[in-house]
Amino acid sequence: MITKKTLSRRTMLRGAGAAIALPMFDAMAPAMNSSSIPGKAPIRMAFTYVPNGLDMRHWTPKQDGAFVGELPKILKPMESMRQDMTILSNLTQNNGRALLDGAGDHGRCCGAYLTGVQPRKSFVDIKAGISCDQIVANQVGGQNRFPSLEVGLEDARQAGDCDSGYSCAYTNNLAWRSETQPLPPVLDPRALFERLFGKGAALNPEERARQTKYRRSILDFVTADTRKLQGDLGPTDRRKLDEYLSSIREIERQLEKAEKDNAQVNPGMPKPYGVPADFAEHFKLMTDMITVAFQADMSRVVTFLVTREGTSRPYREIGIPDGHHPLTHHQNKQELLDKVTRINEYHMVQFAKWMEKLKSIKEGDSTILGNSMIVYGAGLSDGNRHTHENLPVMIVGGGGNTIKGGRRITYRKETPISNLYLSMMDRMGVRIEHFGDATGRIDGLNLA
Amino acid sequence: MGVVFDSDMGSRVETALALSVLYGLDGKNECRVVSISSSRTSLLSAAYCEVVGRFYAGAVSGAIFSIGRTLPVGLAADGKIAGDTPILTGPLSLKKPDGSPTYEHGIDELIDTAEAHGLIRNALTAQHDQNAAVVLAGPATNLLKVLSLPGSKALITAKVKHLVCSTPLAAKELEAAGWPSPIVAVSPSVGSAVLFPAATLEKEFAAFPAHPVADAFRVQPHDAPTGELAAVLYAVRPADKAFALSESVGKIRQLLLETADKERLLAAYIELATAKPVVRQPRFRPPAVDAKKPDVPPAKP
Repeated sequence: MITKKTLSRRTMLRGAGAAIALPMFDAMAPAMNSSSIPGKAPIRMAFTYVPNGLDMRHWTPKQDGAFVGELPKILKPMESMRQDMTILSNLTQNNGRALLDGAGDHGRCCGAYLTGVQPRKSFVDIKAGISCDQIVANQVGGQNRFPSLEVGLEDARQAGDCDSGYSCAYTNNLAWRSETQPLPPVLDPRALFERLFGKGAALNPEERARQTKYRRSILDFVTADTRKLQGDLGPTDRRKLDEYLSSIREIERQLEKAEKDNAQVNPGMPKPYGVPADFAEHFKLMTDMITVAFQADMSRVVTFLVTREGTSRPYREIGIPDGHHPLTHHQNKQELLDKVTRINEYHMVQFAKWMEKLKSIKEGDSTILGNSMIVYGAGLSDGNRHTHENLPVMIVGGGGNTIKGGRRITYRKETPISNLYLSMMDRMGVRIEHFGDATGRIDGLNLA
Repeated sequence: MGVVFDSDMGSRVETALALSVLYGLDGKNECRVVSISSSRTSLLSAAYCEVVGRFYAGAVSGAIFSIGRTLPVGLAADGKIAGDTPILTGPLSLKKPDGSPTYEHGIDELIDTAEAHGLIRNALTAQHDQNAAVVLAGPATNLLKVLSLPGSKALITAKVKHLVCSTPLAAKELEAAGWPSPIVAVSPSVGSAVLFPAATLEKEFAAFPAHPVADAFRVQPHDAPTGELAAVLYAVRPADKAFALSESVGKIRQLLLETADKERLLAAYIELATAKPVVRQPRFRPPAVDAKKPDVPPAKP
């Protein structure tokens, strides 16, 4: 596609209090240097974490190799993306195990999940390790507005004892900037929106009130820039710009709805300003914004803590008033097991919608999903027995045409999940020799 | 004490006898078997290790996973594929009257095993300081790979009281590679000084309707040398008066035998190797003693 002029990848739409990064346009291709290779789309990496283990009976496909027949119950929502996903079996997080530190599997498994080290048992003097997402963010994130984004859905404290002597910092965070500094996830959609599209810090109450009063879209503030840009783009890029701005407007509408609902309904607990009462809506809002962040190359590294490890959140949305954590100690009672499975399915339905969205957005000759590696998993496999081997791990996306999907790969027992992270870091252009308890890199992911 | 047992299981019946001695000591609560691995690149070697493990740990629990022995068998997979020996094929091919295998195991493909070096490293991470022993009854292949893992030397220094090798050659290789704990090498004369009698097949082992070590022994009954059994016994009972240590040469001390104790030593081998499987109690955890690690019990003496 030949356009009137070449656009910089850093082009933004600017206006009062707003700065909107843009997706990759054809007009940017000659100038792109986003993966150090001109014209090549960036690779993104995200970790989506669900707590309390999964009902593994309904997670693992029956046989190795290409998926045959129906996917297991929990994976069924991913049916339309079966060729884009790979189930990795037998990966283990040894440092989530007790290793002489006694009770506290929930605290340990989450603290160890992306760090690959044994978290110190303490709720005062916390210590884990630098998580793999932050290693990547440190090395390649400088090219982006946000080296990494940390997102979550459940309001959770950062201090105190959350599991048998383990700090809440372990159960409530995935990303660790240093051994002692976890990066708390952003829970409030409005805060994330302002971070992504505002000019730096979140709006102060007066600015927010002014915007709310006039019900103005952030797009209204960048009208002049938008018109100018439209004039510089070819028809394909113009359509892409329209779709992109529409998706931002849609996020704004969802936010406004959530805020309106919150004003009318007392959620019964302290909630940040813009958090929707409905879990699925909250999930969609946050993942829509991650999608936009990927699309506009605002960030390539995301950790998404769906709910905190060990959570006892009920799921009344699907008729389950019981707490998630107590349910996972089901003692193999069928009624309780069924509820755990339904929660697992419910999470997967939301995740699948996000993946479908990533797959629907074209990027060069691929899609955002094709250029991503999205891991979905948990720090425990069997939540009833608190097992740390054979974790539920799914990787979705093509990793920039480097990962072959549509199959299950079973590794040797006790294979450290850190081996997977090393292989993912390679694909992000970050080549390090050692990470956590890795014994090497995993094989079999490649296309060949 | 936690014991890591690495061998080339299947090369000699002595190794199977040594493993049964180790489980005998485990049954007496003198140690806990924390990892079993083989440097013999053969699925049957791993399968046989699992059969012996299930015989002792699983016979009473129904599953190897249920009483704290949560780790699978480790196997070296990058070496030359080793042939199957009668010691392995003999017991593993036995059938019950209904045609089912006498000894069940879960190892049909490589993915049913673990990388040996990662497994050994993981097992050591779960031991109290200076409360682990490593027994090597075969080549140093797997232990050399353990040394290549980042942080492993510090881990071994902290956890391992001693490494006991059944051959001086393996001990020297590991010393040269920088194995950081004290190393004991069984002198070649120890194995030939006391022979494990084939007659036990008709006596002590005869009490078992099926015993995987006895069935390996039955393949070629002979009075077997006991160097590997000595390695196991010394690792767990270093104060046993049957043993003496030479002066160290470099880091290595030779394990020698006090000749007056030969008969008692043989009796101990037979008692341990032919001991019945025992249900192990869960690990004892005393009340919190340390504010930072409230659940950590003090190391066992």
